[in-house]
Amino acid sequence: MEIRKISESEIDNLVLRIIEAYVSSQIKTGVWEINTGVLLEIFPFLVEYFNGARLMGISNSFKSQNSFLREYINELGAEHKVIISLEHPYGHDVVVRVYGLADTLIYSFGYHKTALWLDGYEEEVYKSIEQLVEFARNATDKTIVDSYEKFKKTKIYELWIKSKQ
Amino acid sequence: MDKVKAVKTLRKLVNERSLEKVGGYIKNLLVEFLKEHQNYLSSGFYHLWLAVSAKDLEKLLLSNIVVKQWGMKEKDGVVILSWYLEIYPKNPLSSTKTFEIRDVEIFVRRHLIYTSSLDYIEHLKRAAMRGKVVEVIEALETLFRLIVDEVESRTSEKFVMLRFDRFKKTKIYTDGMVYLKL
Repeated sequence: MEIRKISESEIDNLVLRIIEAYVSSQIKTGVWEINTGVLLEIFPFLVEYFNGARLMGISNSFKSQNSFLREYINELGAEHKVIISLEHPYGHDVVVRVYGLADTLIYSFGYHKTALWLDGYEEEVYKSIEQLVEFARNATDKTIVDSYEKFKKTKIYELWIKSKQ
Repeated sequence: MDKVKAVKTLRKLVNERSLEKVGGYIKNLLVEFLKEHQNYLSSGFYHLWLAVSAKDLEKLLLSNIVVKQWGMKEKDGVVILSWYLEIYPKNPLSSTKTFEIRDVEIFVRRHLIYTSSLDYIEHLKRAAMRGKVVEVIEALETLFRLIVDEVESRTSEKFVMLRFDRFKKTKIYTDGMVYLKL
């Protein structure tokens, strides 16, 4: 008998692929406006893959960064609006970006959730995946569409269209 | 490992305030353990999962980091800890099975975040210098026991499979699997 030599665990790879496949099957790419209350339901733990280097001066620990961001979001209020975008840049990989906070948060969604799953947050992971899917299905995108309509009336857009002709 | 002898030697080195010697001695104890179990090993690196209870986490002197800083949570009574172990042979050209150990490195890491890792020997060295000599030796004893247990009973795999079996019952698994097969 010997220690099994593995480059990565088969299980975490499988969990990652299944989560990404599930999200890909339910949601296509998109941009939505949500309030921070919903954001915290989708990402109950905000900082796992947030680039901590940008939070200079704050202890580099998971908990203190997490509580710092939560505190910041709580101060903005649950009705504060942020924009989230979802894209599949490589295969099934699902990348979520959150705009409208002090800094842009970027999550490789499946990777983020798999790490949390391994860290012992099973129920939280399942719940937050379902939250994202449910939200994306029901989102009306009204503000985004309105903004896009306004943008279409600008000179920038007109010139861009002309350059394509 | 002779605990009494190990505590005595480590305490002597700590009293000499020699950081290098303290680190070297702790590493040496790990090398001795690996030599004793060389039938488990080949040279190179290992990603090793260990299922660790809250009590063992305390004994490993990792509770503060793993639970409080990294935010890992106990599930089914254990935390699954990811370790990185690298064994360097004296002669790089020797067979991976029959070799003499030149050096070892051991890190505890956050799952899938390879930039967040803790040099475990360095961690124990600092603890020893703070006067936790007995605790450091007990931490090593616990680590050795857990490695042997993992190799002989595949404990962590059993716990991860428990989680995976629960995952299989979710809609995410069934729908995701179907989509993967398409």
